[in-house]
Amino acid sequence: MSSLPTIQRMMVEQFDLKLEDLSPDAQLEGLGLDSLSVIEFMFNLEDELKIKLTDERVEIKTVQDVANVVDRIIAEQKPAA
Amino acid sequence: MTRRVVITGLGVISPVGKNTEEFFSNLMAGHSGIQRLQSHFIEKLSIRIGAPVNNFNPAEYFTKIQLTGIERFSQLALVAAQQAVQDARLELGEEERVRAGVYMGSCLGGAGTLEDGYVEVFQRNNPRIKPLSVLLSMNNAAASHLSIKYHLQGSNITYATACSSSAIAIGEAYRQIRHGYADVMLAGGSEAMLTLGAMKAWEALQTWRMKIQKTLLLPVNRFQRIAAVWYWAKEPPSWYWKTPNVRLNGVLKSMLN
Repeated sequence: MSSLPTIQRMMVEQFDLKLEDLSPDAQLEGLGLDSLSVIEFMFNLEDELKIKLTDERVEIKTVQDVANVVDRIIAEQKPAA
Repeated sequence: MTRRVVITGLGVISPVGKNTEEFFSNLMAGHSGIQRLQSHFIEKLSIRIGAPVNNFNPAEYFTKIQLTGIERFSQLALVAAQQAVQDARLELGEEERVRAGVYMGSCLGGAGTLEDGYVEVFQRNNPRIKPLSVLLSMNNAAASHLSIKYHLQGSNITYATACSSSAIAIGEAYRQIRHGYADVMLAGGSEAMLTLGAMKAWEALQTWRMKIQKTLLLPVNRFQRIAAVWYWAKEPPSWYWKTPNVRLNGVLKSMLN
């Protein structure tokens, strides 16, 4: 399951953004988010989804980019069945 | 070569007023801004009074996204600076911004953010604190925000010299212009230290006494000043006796005003 809906909900709560503006291809910069607010957001995402982001440098420009990173980490950090 | 320096704009948000007019008229009316504090942690303190900036709603000035990275003391600085910049009708070109700087004073900077981090680490045993903690709490955060907002690319310095921090910043900014290092300076100071840890530290220093607190809460008139001086003289802090001239001057001034 994609983390996109959770990310959109958290962006609405944390930044007072409107859900209709948070389409997957919405640019974070266009939403008013800068690198610092994205860092703070990712920190809160770690708490919410109980994941640990890695030190790997990834390019995050859109809402979908955030979801892609999170989905990949969830898959990697999922305990083996 | 030295040059004349002029102040072209003023701004203030304080316990005494949210703009220069309100600030000045309240001071003239004898309002100190000191009151009983309503903080949720007040029961843990023997100091029960202070001068908070009441009715300051950051949401009136900043978006929620902006507030992610702006601590209260920086918020106050930005609001006051906006008034000053508007008052001065300051509009700078690209080249002029290179010779425009920011000098600010702040003693404890983002004390609240720092304390929140301590609570997480030491009290809740949480190894994670917010990633922007340093950027929020560092003393020069307010000056940095001002430079970013107004694209001021000249010298940017924050002074931490206790109660004189802002006065030093303004004085040094004056010298920057007077001696030709800058053409425009945004200067002032801000503080947001009515936090449990900061107030506890002041309490430990014993710069306040409960009896004096009571007298400070009263509106100021001649008789109440005399009462305040009486309390002060009866139970002064230990350092007070070591400065007899200050005591004598203080008593005389209070009686005569």
